Amino acid sequence: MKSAIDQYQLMRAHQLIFGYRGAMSNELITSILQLTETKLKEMEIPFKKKKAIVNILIECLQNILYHSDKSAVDQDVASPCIFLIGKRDGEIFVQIGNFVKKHLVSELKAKLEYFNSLDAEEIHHLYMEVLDRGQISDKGGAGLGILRVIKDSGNQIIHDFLVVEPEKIFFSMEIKISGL
Amino acid sequence: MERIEIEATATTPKVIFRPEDGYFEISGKSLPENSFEFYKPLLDFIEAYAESPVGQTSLVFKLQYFNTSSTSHFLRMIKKFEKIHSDGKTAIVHWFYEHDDEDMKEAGEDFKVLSKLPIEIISLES
Repeated sequence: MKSAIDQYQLMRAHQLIFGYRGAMSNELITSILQLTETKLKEMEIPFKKKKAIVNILIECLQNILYHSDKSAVDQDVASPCIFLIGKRDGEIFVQIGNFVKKHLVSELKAKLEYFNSLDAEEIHHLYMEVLDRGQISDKGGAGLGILRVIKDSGNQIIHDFLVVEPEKIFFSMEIKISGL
Repeated sequence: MERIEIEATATTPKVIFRPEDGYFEISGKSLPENSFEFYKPLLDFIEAYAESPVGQTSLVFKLQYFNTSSTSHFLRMIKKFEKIHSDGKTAIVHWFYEHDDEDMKEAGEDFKVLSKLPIEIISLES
């Protein structure tokens, strides 16, 4: 059995500030944002970076709500996800993971790869174009959220799709906010 | 038209729409889970107001945080006010930001690029 000290050392080794595993809800997002803001203030993270981190969390955590595979169940948790935030080498990192439907993978992968190939100016230009085109639904808008994440982080999104079972794909991404 | 007054929650903004004096304000945090559901009635209200507006209309944003789907609705709102401005009456957007909140300032500047409406970007000193 792992004791608290093992878990403590594991989190310490990974330089984690805090994390969450389970189902996501909008109420929980509000709590995570409050906790993150408090922690970042305590760590004396500059306002501009703090704002960028909170913006990134808003988009990433709401993306889980909109796009995770609602039929996925793991250890009795429906539509589970993981969220981790930590600080290493002058960077805040945010790691997000959730199950996605197999048919969404190729489009999401292509979108992320395309966005990652653009520089900051191109990202802003595309963001404005998508915003102006106004393709929105009740689930948000045509990659606007991902574009904002890249815009606010100033870095590419590291991502991975792991085939857990033929129809069960685990999507992970890591976003880094540098210069801290 | 009746006024709209909605109190803020942890995820939705405070809304004050006073059609009688042309004052429309959205303030606080805007990260509703379903932004379409929240903003659709407000957009419909603005559309109806734009049919017979008062002489001068102000749309005021005083935001702390918002998600990108809210951004799309803000732009739709601003575009609906463009109609008023081009019909001989005036409409203006006042976009407020906390003095150190460059991100919010830039969001206002983005709207300025995408809209024909005059948008004043105003720093709030704390």
